[in-house]
Amino acid sequence: MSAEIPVLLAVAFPVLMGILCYALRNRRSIAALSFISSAVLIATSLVLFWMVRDNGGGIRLDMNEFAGIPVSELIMVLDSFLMFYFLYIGIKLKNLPTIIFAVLQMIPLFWFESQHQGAVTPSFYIDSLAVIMVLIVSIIGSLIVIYAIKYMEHDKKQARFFFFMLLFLGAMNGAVLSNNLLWLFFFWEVTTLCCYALIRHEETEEAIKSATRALVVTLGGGVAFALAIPLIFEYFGSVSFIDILAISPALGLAFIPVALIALAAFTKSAQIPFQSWLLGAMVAPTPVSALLHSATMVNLGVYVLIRSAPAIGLAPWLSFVIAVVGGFTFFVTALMAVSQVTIKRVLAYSTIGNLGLIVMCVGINTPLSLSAAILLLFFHAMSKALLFLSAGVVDHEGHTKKITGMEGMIRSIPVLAVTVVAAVMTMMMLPFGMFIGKWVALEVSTTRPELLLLTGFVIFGSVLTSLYYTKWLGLVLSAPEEPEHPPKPHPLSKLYTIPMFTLLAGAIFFSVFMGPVISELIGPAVAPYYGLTPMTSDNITFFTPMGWVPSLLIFVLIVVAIFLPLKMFKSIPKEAVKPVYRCGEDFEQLRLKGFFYEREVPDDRITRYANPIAVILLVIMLGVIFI
Amino acid sequence: MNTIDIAIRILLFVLAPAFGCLFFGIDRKLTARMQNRVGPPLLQPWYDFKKLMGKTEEIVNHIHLVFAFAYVAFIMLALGIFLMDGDLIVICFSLGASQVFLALGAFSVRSPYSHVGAHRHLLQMVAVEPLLILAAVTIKLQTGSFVLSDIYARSTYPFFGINTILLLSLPVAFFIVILATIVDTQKSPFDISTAHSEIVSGTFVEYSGPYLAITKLGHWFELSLLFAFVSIFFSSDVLWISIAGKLTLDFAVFLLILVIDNSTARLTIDRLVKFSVRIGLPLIIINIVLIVISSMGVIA
Amino acid sequence: MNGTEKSRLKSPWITHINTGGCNGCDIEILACLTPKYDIERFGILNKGNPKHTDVLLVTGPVTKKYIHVLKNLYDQTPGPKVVIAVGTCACSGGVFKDLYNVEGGVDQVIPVDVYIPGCAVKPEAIIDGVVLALEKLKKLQEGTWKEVGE
Repeated sequence: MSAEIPVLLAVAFPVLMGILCYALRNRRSIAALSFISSAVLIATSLVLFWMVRDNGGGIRLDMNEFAGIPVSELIMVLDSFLMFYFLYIGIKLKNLPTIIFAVLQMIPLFWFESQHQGAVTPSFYIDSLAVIMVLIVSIIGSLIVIYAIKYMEHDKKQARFFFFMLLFLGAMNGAVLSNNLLWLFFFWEVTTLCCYALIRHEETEEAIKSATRALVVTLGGGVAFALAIPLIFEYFGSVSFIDILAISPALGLAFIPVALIALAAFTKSAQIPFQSWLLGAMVAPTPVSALLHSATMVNLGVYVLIRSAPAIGLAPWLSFVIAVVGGFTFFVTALMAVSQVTIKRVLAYSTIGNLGLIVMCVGINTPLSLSAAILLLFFHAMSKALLFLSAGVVDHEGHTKKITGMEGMIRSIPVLAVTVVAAVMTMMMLPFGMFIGKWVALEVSTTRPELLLLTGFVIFGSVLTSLYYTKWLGLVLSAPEEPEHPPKPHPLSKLYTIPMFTLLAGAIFFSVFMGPVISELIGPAVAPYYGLTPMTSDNITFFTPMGWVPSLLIFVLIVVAIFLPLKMFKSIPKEAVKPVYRCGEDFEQLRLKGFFYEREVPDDRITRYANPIAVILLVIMLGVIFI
Repeated sequence: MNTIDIAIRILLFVLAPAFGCLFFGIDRKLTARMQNRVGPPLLQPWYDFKKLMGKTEEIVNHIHLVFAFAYVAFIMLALGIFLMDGDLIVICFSLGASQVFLALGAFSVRSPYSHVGAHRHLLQMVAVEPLLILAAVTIKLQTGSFVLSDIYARSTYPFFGINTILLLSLPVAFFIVILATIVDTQKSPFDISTAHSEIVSGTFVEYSGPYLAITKLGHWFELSLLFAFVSIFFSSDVLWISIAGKLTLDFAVFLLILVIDNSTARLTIDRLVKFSVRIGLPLIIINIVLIVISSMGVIA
Repeated sequence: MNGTEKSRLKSPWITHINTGGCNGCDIEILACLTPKYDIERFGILNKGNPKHTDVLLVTGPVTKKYIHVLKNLYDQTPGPKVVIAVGTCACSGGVFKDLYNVEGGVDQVIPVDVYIPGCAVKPEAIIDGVVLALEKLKKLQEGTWKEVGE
């Protein structure tokens, strides 16, 4: 079977469905269309996975012209429309930076298009790395869309919402599959547009402000990207990703565009000092946060970095600075998350931090660290999407946006509380995928003396991560005494539980069976540029050249630790359940509220120190090329 | 690894809690002697354990107990990996995971004492765990590996014909490990999270009877693990020198901890964090820098 | 006598509760911990928490405000447990007996196993009382204990 149909289904089909949603505007048809596109997307991504697997390498697909439509020209035209639309938004918002960035984007792009032929062959390149992203986008994205059907039930502007959600899924698939930098840029800008529109969704003053900020920052990244394209053509002689990575340029200046692309990736992945837009973006409805700001769109930045890792690796200083930016982000965001009380802000900081860890792994640029980066990408998307979805349910069912409001949720909504606990465990506890990624990153950073700084960042970052997550879980678990007649908990909707449990099952299942994940996904993704991946797992033990984790043993231990006591409890009579020690007094239920170190590590003060440091690092990043 | 080797390791694992138990027994006896008292019998911790196992069960809620089991399980895991000559970082993280579970257990009952204890425990983890991992990193930098079997094989440092003492090349890391041992065994001046007169033994306040006994068992395992960690710093090609050296080192550290425990008063938690950031961290960084410089010197 | 039973006699952990007394007996209890009396040689540890306790040392007359507290603390102590009334007030109410705000001795509220009279009690007497309590526990375990009335 040719790859054209699946690619079309992955890119164009959701867009079509989105347009239909917008046209039909009634709830039943929107729900039906969302279901259909979700099912199709999941099936398509699996088909693409099998095709790449059977092919034993990347599939080159030429679609500059398809069924008589000049696709390449069409994309160029749409791209120009998009540029002008951004300009229009800027003028309508009376926001000067937006206007400037929109104009700045046009100049290099139109100049380049007037000089050169925009089409390259192949236009799509489907390899394992792209397939990993397609799987993340299509499966996790679809689950989030299904969740959103219930979540947005009473929303007035559902048609618009689902249009942008589905458009976004298509654009994301397009971006990761494109081999042509110009096409990638187009899809990149579409995701920026979707992000802006979805953050704005509630049209409150705060939403508009956050949306504008997100637009400005990501458009700024777009400017860097747009500048990079002609420069890349200048130094590498092509805008095809495959060709660029095959060339090792002699000229040091050739790394300016690479550094610019890294800069663009930093804005998209919200690395310090660009983190503010992602924090502001938390005003968007929760499915948007889950989809754009944790599981997929922010991954586009690190995806581009991983994709261009071979080119970055040729400039040791550049890659070192990128690694430092990533490590610094990981550490600082972990510190800032400690003082946060709002659930989604904690999750946002954690997202930025974990993306920072991925960036750091790319910067270290060895086969092992690249494998760790992809491993982190894969597991982070699942766990974080799950956490965001849980946060949404907490908001709708528990009526709180604060961690302090979740106190004792283990009694009021036990299913949800257990899901949150399990999700956080997959984020930080050994031997789940995220832990393995952090551990490999830590060990790999001790291999060269100059990287030892990063070792410190990873160590402190991960310990602080467990601090803020444990504090949160502590409040969730803090169970009040059981009342005489416990009220029956309100059952959660199937549209909530199915996506959440699927993600949870995925995060646990793939951690237990990591062997296939490495051999089928990560190995082939690293192989073309770095050869055989050094990490292996036979599902019993996880090996790297530097150490090993007895993963199966730990899973068995966890199961025993959970089920052995449960078995023992059967014999405990009800009279043995005693109230807690309160010096013998009987007062009403306490509320403890937790402790957040707001005075010790306030995030605004840390931001004041961290941002200048990060700016200096970025200046160095763009400057070291001239050395 | 031959059969005898494996048998010895399994035996060590089984005996580990006995070492911990004996440690606390000697500790209480010696403390009493230092205060001019007679003190309890040497096997007192064992009697306490047996008594607690025989008490009637009394629980607050079930999740509370699940975390007690998880705490012990992860401590046993860490010791198990140690005896399998595993990866030092995994051992440290597994120790950290057990501390997280202990804190979660304390959080899962709505008792102010328990919550204060848990918060302190977490802060204590934040203060000490990074230093312990950094100490492991210095060991790696010195020997080139995180895996214990390689560390034993490569920790060469010529000293009076005895081939291998990590202690002399990494004195600062050794100091840090002692610090971590004091903190994790809940000895003064760092017995902050389980301060019994102040917050009614904090994290453990709601465990009673057999479940308190289980956390005690975990504590014994933890102690054995930390002394095993201390013993990394001495190894030799000659078996009996190796064993004798390890035991001497452990005993010296044990005495040191005892003296510190009896001669200091409890700090506050912020003092611990400050101590760790202002003294522990610079020291270990200096050690790392020295290692890097010396290794560069070797290369040059 | 099996190992657990033997261990019970060797490791009685105490909690001391003041139900409204004058603190005289409390100071004597603390004196027991000092090197001169050294009750730790019997394995006795002072725990502030009834959940870890085997022996409750109760001092002072039980004031009316304190009845529910004492009951709760007794209830939270896991068995087997022993209650010792320390001092005359705890035994009978002492000079506070029949006061409008005093319920009486500890045995008005919870069952008491050993009475140690004295105002204030001597540390020697407290140690003797604890040993007596252990004696009672031993007999209870052996099944040879007889209540006075029987």
